Amino acid sequence: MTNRMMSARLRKRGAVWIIHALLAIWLVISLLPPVMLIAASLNRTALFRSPMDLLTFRDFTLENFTQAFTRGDFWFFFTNSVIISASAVVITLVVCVPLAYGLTKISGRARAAVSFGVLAMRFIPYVVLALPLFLIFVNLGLSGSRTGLLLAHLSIHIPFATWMLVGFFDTVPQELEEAGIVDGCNPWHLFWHVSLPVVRSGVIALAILVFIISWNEYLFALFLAGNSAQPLTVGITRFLGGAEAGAEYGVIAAYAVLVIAPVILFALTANRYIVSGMTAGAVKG
Amino acid sequence: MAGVSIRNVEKTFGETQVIHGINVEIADGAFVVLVGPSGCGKSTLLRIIAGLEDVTGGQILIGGTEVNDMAPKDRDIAMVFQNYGLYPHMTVAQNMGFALKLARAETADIALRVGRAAEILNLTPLLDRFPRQLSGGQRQRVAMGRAIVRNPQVFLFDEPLSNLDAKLRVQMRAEIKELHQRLKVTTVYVTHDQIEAMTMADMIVVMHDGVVKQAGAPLELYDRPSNLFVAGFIGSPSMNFFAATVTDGALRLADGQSLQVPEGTSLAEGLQVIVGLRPEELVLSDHGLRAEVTLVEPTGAELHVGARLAGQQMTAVFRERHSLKHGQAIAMTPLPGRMHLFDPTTQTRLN
Repeated sequence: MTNRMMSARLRKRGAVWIIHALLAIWLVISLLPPVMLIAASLNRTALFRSPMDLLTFRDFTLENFTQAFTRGDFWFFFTNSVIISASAVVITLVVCVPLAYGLTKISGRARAAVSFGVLAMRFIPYVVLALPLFLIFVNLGLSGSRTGLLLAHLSIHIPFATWMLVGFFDTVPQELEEAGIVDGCNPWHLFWHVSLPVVRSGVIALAILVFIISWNEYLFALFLAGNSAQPLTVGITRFLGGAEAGAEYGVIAAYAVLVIAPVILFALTANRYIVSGMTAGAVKG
Repeated sequence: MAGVSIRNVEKTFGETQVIHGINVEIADGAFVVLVGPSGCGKSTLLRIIAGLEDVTGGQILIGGTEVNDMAPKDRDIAMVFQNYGLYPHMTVAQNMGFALKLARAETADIALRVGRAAEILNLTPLLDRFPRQLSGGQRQRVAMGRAIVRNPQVFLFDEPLSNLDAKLRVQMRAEIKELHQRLKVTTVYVTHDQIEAMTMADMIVVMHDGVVKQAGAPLELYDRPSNLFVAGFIGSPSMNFFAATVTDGALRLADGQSLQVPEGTSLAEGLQVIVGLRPEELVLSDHGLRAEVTLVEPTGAELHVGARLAGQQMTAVFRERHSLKHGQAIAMTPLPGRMHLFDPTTQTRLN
């Protein structure tokens, strides 16, 4: 091996080390908040002075979790969250998958107009929608109901999902559908047996995203949920406490862990689909 | 099996007419190649036969029945696409059996027919794989398998080999031709590669700008191209063309050198003609057209020589291993009876 090759190798190895070191720092920074959250949920101390206090676990306890379940009415909020998020996923897919497929089949100006309309919904900050929706829902008697909150979520999901799905369906090569036509497919077969399976992992990834967005949604829930339809994100606020009591950070942390745990478990199991969905169409099938 | 008749077919996309009244009769069991440069309308014509495009005018008949308004699946055709068009989520067997499944064939019958097709194409060990696990050549064979499983009256191929590397292309070319000889199903094959056209076809249809320039057997097109376009398109390297004037009963080139008018051809004095000389139909001789060698490329089997003649660049191909050098003066004569003469205005053949 020549000297030049050696030094090139060493330089390359040095670069790899630097990159790994930077990644490690980044990992620590991004993991610190969730680690602190978990640590806080397992400590008795009500007020935290420094992160290091937490990580020693001197006041280790599971009391915070018990509090969150009992005083926090956890299952009530949990049920609302699950019903709303799951319904949002099902309805979004049932509406948007055929809608997006149809959009990729219509041509030129019509498609551009509909696509713009769909995307334009994304220009509006949710908070702007919250008040009008509240007034509409009050008039329709939907205020404070799961149905109302679900409808509000769908007003966000449907444009977003349609836009994503049009992108997915656009990656299906025209030739594939033509092969289907020659093989004897009718339009329904083309959709169900040819195009949809090709974008399947993208659809699954989208379903997960929709679920997570609904699960974590707070603003609409605050305006529209009333007392009977509050999801977990609102439920957590009851431990923020009043002026004299002060916020119960330990319980809040425990509650937060319980809120994010299902999503994290869900995302970990579905990780495969999220990644392959993001790269769908990157390589020709 | 059935023949295909293309009668006065026209096709317009918006304002643009891409096919201008084409007539081709394809005999039952023939292997017909549609060839031409990109944009000549050959793929559109194939897609019209398949039913993936409507005709603007004219008629398509398959086996004597007009199919203009029939859906592709009712035309009894099968098509092999350029990028294979395999369903990525189905195994090889499922890909091949999909059409039968849609036609509600019995599961056992599907398995039997897929198995038989797989055997013909040596795909049996691959039946449970997915397209992404196959090489380009294997995918191509699966696409062909999908076509033959249906036992159609006509096979349509749309540039099926253009995604393969050179070596595999030659191999698949032979496989497709062998398959045709074995099954004897009428085949329409589109390519821009004139070598593919020459080697595979019973009949070549040369297209350019939406019209048929010439249709005929490969050697007929090679030996007697009926116009300048076909003369230049068929053959590799392409034919050399020289402008000439009939002077004193001979063909005088731009630099004053002259060639004898071929026997059996009479041309009026003063007539402008274009002389076509195939590179491989020239021989070195002591007398003849004098040229200066500019490039020598030995390929082993042949010697490709670039030269300047009558103020323009030309190519000659010799089977013999002449020792030639850059700048050397040589003289060449066309083989007897192998000169092609064209009218410069109508571009049609004169002899």
